[in-house]
Amino acid sequence: MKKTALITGVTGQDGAYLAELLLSKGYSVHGIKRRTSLFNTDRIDHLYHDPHDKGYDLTLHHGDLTDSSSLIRIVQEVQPDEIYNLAAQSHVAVSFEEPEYTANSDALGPLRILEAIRILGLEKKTRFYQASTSELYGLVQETPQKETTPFYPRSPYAVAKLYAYWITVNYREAYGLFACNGILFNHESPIRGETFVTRKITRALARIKLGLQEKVYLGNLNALRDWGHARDYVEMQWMMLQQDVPEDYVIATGEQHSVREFLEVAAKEVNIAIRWEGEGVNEKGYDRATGQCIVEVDPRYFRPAEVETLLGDPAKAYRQLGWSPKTSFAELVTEMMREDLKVAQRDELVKQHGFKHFNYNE
Amino acid sequence: MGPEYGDAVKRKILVTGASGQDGFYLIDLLRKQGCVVHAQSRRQTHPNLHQDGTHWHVGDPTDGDFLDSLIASVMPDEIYNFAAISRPVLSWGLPRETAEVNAFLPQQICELLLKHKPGCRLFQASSSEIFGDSADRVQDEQTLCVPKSPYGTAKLYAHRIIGAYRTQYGLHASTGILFNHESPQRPLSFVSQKIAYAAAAISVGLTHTSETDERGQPILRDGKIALGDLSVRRDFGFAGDYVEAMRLIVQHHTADDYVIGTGEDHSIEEFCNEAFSLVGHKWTDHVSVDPGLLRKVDSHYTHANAAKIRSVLNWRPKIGFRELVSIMVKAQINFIQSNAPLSGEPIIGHRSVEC
Repeated sequence: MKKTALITGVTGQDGAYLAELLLSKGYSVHGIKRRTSLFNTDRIDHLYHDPHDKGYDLTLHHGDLTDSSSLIRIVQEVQPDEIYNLAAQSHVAVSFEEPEYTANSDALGPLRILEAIRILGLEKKTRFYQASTSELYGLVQETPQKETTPFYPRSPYAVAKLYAYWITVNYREAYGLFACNGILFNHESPIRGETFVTRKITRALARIKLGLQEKVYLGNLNALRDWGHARDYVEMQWMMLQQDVPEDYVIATGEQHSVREFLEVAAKEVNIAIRWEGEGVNEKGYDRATGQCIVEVDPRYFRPAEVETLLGDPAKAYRQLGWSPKTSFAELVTEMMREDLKVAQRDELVKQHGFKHFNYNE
Repeated sequence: MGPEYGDAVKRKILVTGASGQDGFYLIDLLRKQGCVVHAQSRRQTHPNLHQDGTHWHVGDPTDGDFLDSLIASVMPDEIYNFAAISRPVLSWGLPRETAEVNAFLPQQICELLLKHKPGCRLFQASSSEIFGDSADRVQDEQTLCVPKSPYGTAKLYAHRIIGAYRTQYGLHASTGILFNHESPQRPLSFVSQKIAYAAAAISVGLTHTSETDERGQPILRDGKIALGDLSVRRDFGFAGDYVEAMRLIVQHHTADDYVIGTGEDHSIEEFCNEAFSLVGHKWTDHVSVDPGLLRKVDSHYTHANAAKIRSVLNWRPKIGFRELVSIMVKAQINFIQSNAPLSGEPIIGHRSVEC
């Protein structure tokens, strides 16, 4: 029988990859998107069809994690076998500016879904996946981080996700729900949100390469992260819900790189070699060929509660589910760089022909 | 108490959730120390309660406008946040409200301090419930947190958000990880008070009581009290000692997190034994176990390692386990005999207070 899945945050990076994966596995896929006055379905445009056309199995619903009644209505209508909660205010720095909204959507959002499952009597039917995050580790207590590593969150985003993690465990233990946390380390792709550092770098380099932009301002160049490809990670999210027993898993590559390294590998892909000069906030990156300064540090992007280093240990996922990431760091960066180069080329073309184009400054 | 209290400029202190047990003892302490006390409660307080110059503010602290104007008008030097849904077992039925009060209110207070008075010091009442069923033999500030209820999960949110604001903005915001703390002011819904009340009732010859437990049955029926798991072991302290610890934490130059406990653990069975022995009875004659009162998900064992607060702030509890049980049983005897509040102590006002 055809399975039905409900994805919150379907318009985001992970939502798009997961929807594609589940459709390829023959699921009937339902997604929740927030109402906005702008179209926000770019990432699932290739999967999505006019509702008047028949035969496609992706249905979108208007809803919001901060609105219990919308969630209860949708869950009741869809009667999903699996719910993937990928929706969140997912930006760490913004969570300091919008702490109340972050708590409401990232902490209470999952609670509202769990309560909806319970209230509708779907405890035996509906499995629940909660997108947890390596930001839970914050001030890391051991390296690498695994499922048993103590959490030490340092931002409203991470603290809200901490609540979501434990409330998911609470509901699993108390009500016997099939509910799991995937503790995802950074996962990127060509459709990563443009304000996240990886995408910010590849977009900027593409635009610098084509002369659409002069330079890029970054924060802590030495921050270390474990970067994987979102396409690999959503596969693991699905696998977690196919097991006999609900458990929590770290999803990571087990490999660590600095922001600087990411930048250098990306630059190389567009034939830019970078020469570094200066230190700390005065450090600058120059294009060796042209001598042009293309990278500067802006202390605005520093945070006292900075998370310096994250490195995941995906051994449990490999041992128990046979999962390991397929995409290497170099392949990830190259793919992102190539795609952003295409976008920049399109922008350049549009500009050359005198049509309106956007800078999309942060 | 340190010497700074005597002659210090009168500090303005705001206590939220002030009509509960801890508010009662803290306000008492603050008054003795000459502070100007502003107290917030969600409902009109009992007329007997602190008609001593304490400024009461009645309103819902999760109402953003109320809280904003409260802090803006008082402009306190210190805030003690006691407002909480205080019963882990109730939090299963009220997960959302528990999060709103226990988790997000402390964050909102931090935001309002940034807005109105970043120099104000904050004490957040954390709870040993954040540890859940901890694997560690004793619990200290480094113990792994594995909360077991929406209550514990919400308190953990508050605990971590306070730390995040301290680091990010340099707020003087501290937490005290409080282990069970009891007193004659504990509501009857808590097991300690239920036992003290039952022993007191037995001692004055009652076999049936009008006060009921969470099942809606008389606490004492045919001379018996029904309890859940008697083997649960907890670190029980006296609330009056704990508010002194809180005050010390806030006076310290650096804000930090501290475990507050006695460093001893006792079972519910021991509590029963102590209480009934005090009135010359055998607990086994009066205690029965009702499987309906067993909790599926609950912390089974707590035992504080309070070495940090002992060495950094030189705090020690003054009241031991036996004395605590004795104080509570005597207060209940007094209450039952006079069937009226103890002089100056508004027990009636507290009996039904849950939150």
